[in-house]
Amino acid sequence: MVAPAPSLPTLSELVERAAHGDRQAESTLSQRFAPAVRAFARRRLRGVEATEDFAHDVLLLFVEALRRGSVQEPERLGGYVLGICRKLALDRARMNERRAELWEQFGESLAPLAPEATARDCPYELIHLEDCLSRLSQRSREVVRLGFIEAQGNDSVAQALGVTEANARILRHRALSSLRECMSRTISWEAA
Amino acid sequence: MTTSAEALQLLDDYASGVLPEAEALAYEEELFERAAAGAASDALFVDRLALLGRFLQGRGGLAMGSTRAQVEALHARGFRIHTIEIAAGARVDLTPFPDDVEIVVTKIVIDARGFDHLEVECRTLAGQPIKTFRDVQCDPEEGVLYAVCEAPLARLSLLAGPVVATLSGVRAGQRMVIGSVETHPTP
Repeated sequence: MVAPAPSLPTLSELVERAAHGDRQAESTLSQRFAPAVRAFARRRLRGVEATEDFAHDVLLLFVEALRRGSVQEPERLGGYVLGICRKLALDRARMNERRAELWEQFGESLAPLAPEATARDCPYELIHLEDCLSRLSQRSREVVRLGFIEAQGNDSVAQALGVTEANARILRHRALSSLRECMSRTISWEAA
Repeated sequence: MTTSAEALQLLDDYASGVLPEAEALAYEEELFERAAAGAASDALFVDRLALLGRFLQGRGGLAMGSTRAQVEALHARGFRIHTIEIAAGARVDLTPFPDDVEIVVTKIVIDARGFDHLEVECRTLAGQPIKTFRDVQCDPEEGVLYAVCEAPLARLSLLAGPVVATLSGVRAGQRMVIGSVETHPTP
């Protein structure tokens, strides 16, 4: 869905820069991990709000660690962030108290991760997605809406569509494949 | 950035809880390593789908055909909306709309009530297929079609040149043409 960046700084450089207060480096690292963190959250939580809250909490802690210079082994950064996810998943109640304080201190670093910012930063992907969604059947669009946009589980998708959970899983996969295939081509109006 | 269908399906099985716990633990180790390397294109694809989809959902962009009430609700929320009204059977010149327009509403004045599985097929004047909007909904009270789309996509559609849009639907088991419109972009 996006073109590869020409020459990205290394993880070590980004971590080093973030430790010295480079907000852009923090943002780059946060954006790099955000999809994986949300995937982690979607496995364990249901609903947009719950998954977004979890992702914000993880990334806030991550940014905090970067700024403190706590990330000692940049080459193991994936495991480091996953460790934050796992710890947080086990410690949700305690985090709720700390969240407001963290948001106040570091929230600005996460602004680029909001839907509005993503739409602003990815205008072509936005209308490409809109174009591709309009080519799906009503049922596939409903699967996309429930399963991916609203982060509902297979049980909820199955109930809404009147199918089994196994069929809901297949419908999710088909919808993803259709969108992937469509998004790999140009927007239909461009091809005319 | 590309990702395979298999990678997306595995990610979906992981995220939706289908993947057994032991496999999921190993999968997420690998996922975060790829994320660190900027190579989690599967997660990025699904994430963009969720974020951009949510953005579109809040602006009427997910519905293939809106009701009059839904369009009025968009106006009430303060979006800068450009409306194009076309009567069925008409040929209309489409003029460029202001740069600050956010959403374009195309109102096709037709009565599509009583038809199922509405489709709008768009072709060039030469008959080349451009795209088909599937399972479109009309306003249940007026039968009118309100198509809502992001302004940049509407601008892009103008570049396709003259277009014939044909609305069809299924009634009594047969698909039939309800009406068509012809649009001609002008500079």
